Amino acid sequence: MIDRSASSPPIRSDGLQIDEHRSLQVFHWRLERVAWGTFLAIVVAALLGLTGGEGRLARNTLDHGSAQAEVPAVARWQEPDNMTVSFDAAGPHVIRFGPGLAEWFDVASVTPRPVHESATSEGLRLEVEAAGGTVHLSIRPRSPGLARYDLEIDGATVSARTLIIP
Amino acid sequence: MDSVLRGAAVYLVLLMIFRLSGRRTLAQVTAFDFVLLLIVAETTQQALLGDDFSVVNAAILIVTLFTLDIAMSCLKRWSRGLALLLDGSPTVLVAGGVPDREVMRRARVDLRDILLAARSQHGLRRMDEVDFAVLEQSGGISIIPKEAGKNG
Repeated sequence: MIDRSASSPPIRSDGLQIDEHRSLQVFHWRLERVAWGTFLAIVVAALLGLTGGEGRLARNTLDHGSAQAEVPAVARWQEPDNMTVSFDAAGPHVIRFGPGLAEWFDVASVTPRPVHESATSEGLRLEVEAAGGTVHLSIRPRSPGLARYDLEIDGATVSARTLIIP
Repeated sequence: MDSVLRGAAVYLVLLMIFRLSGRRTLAQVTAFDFVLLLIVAETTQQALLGDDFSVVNAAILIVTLFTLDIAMSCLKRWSRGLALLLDGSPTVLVAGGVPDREVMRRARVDLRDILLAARSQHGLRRMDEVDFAVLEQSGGISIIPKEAGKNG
């Protein structure tokens, strides 16, 4: 291994022996300011929900006419999250998540408990009464990436996307 | 493998944040900053360990962090450029008794910081007794009094 720290620092005209790299220091100060701006941007993004969790932009609302689904816009890998489907009219209702959901998420629980539930190659199909008007799904992202999945509620299908960050 | 990657990621993130926060952040450690450092340690704990609280996982993480730190010190010793990038270089704040206001502003150091260092290191009373003041890589300020400068 070459020891490059052995060379002695230069002596300035005023007698001070110091290895000062002013141009590099100026560059670093600029970089510092950019970093502080980035830190601020990260804090603002987190407050808005762009890093997962709560926040104004943390969730996507998908309108199905007589039902509204709320899915996470940004989720954190391995952190429990949830999806909700709210119905305007009383049940029974059929919710089907495309195979993309199972590819990206583990579904831990469905509340209230579905009347009938089946997981096939076409995805997860749930028949619910939705007595309270809302069905909650507890989910846990499996891996980081952009999850794309279909959501079909009483025959109407929309595509949903969730960014899963590490 | 997961533990090693987590350890490396947290090490690099902390290294980057501390370096980009500026040297003065580390130098002006108050009691509150100390508490803040403890909170940072507590916050990173979950990211490091994940769901695995076993002794083996903890041992792997500790070994990973120490290995990275040793590797980094070896790399810095081998490459002067990397050392400069990671540690920076000393910055002359006062030369020949004249404060460099622009450098002080950028480095977030004011005359009070220099006078504090002058008092604590050499018992100096006034700014005109200071020959040189250098902001070191560690974040501390070194003072060379006028007499000592002449003798050196």
